[in-house]
Amino acid sequence: MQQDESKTGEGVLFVGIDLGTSSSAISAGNGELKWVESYVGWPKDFIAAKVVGKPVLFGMDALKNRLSLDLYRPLEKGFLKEGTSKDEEAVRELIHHLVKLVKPLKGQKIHAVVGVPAESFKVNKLAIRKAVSGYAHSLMVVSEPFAVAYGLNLLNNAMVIDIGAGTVDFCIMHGTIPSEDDQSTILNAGDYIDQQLYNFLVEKHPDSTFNMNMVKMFKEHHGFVGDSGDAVKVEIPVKGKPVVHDITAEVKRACESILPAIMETITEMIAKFDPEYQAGIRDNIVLAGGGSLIKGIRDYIETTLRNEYGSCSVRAVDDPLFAGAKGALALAEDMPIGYWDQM
Amino acid sequence: MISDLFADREERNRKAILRGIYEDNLFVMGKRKRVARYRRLNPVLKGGAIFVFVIFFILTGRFSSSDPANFIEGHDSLYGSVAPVPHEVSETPSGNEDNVDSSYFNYLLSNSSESLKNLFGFKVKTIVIDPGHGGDDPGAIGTMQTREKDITLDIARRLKKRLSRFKNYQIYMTRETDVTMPLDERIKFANAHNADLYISIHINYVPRKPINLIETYYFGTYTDKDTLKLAEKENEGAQYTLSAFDNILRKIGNTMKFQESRRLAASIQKSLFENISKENNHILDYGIKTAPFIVLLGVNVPSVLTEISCISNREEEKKLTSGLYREEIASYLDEGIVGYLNENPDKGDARYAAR
Repeated sequence: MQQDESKTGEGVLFVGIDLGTSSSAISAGNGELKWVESYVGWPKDFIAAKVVGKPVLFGMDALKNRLSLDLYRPLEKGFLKEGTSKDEEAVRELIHHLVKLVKPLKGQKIHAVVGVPAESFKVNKLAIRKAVSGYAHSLMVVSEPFAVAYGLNLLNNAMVIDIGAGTVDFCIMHGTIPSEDDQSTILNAGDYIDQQLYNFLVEKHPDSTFNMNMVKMFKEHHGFVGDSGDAVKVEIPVKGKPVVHDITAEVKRACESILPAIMETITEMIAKFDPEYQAGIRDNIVLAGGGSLIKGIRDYIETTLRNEYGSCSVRAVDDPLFAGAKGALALAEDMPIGYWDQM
Repeated sequence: MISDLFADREERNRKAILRGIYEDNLFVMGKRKRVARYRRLNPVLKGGAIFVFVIFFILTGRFSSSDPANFIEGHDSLYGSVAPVPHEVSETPSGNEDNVDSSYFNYLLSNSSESLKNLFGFKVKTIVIDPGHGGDDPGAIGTMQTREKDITLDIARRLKKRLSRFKNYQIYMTRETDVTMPLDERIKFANAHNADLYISIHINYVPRKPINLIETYYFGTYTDKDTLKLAEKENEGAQYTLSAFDNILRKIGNTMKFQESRRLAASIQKSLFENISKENNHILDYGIKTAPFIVLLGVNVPSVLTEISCISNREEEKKLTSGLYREEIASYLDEGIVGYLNENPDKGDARYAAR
């Protein structure tokens, strides 16, 4: 009875939060769905404060004004640096901002499930709890790929691969909460692709001027693996004049640089699993995270596994931006109400 | 009917998962002990691990009585048994597992790509933190009269407090106050408390150079003259000559202690350098190095000596007097230790090897 009352939203708003390295999203029981880039910035001085007109800025707003700000990306490299007060404060502000975006009613209690990169889940669950607790009455922390799996109802014989900015997280689901052995993380992910692409472009076009932000956009708009068939042409200034550059080979090489480690981890994790269930897992591999949007990545992984093992099926989530937050919300809503009391 | 059964099983799975999350979070908050979970491990791997484990104990039993490295008294830690390098170590293990001999065992010990700790599934339960110097021995003294012994003690206390959040670890400090403690007593303390990891905290002093650097040492022979000088300084008061230790070290091959000390050192160095360099562009990464520090040799388990900062640098000395900065350093050490405890050896970061 108590559970039914709370779910109707009188006193409690359930929220699922996906706290990511690159972007963070929130899905709330009242139907609101929001996201923001995981950047938090404070004005550097009083002049900057006057220019930006806000005490703290988030997401693209913060990125655009980065020259006036002390800019933080608190989960850079996939984990929160505990004890570094600014990073913790940035997580707190980010959570506060996200919660405000879903417009809870006055006096409504927030019960939150927060999905974090697997590395952060392993290393600093307590720090995340501390950072979030100010803006949620009760909260639970889970790993991001697990939240995705739960949201997609992949509770048994499945593998979720969350290709994020800081890390690629792997999680095998086998009908129970995954242990640390069922999860793995590699550090060559979206940010690594950006760095590689930047290096390749500097090498090939030493006279062209571009920055990491531009390179990130090239990747997001044109990233591909395998054979795309389309040439990637972008405008990059050379001595101040916009010049069209063909960066097809560099984009392909950078995006493909993360694949060997991904393939190795998939095969390694499946090989360690009970052979009776290995085929089932190979037939149920799901890609999530921003990296799943790279053109051709699903086909590449499926074809490579198929050539090696025969039958296998890889699919990408429909909505990588919100899959984690929606899964976390599903967890929050399914959690027996009694469990929230001690959280 | 069958679909009802499936639905029922799925519902049970779901409830078990939700309960698991709840218990995990209670554990993080320190309200409950962790419940062991089992996975469907490949039975071949399970059998292999047990086989290797049994062989390990048979062979360590055979070696331990004659091993020159075991002259130092202490408890029989799982990490502690150090096997000698045989006169001729074969390049690869024998293909016939029924015929396991000492060269196969030594192949395992000397193969740095395999973490024996992980292979055997050994767990760390006790961590000993050693604040360098103390009492009559102030350690290095900065130009503002900041003493190494005070800073190392404060950071060690903060680190202990941080690590104490993990209820399944025992955390000890070799000294809790400003007392004189000779090196051999520190070694005895660690061994008597059945330490599984040993972290000695020190601060560097580099006269005539206005530099700031971070470096982390682990058990081994010295690699350069500066390291030898530093070892002589840190070993002051010990009863053994460096050359005697160096001879012993050269006889001892790669062992589990060596492997794990290296991994621990790399994790701590990485965390310290990556974090501090974000705020300080001038900090130098001197990487991880081997050195014949007596305290590292005497402790039977993975042990490192980390030089977290450089007190001869005036700017750095100023920063070290700030509690916030010391807390940050403690948090980076914490991150390095936790990183080591969680790390997958296959993904060790080789970038932090000494330059």
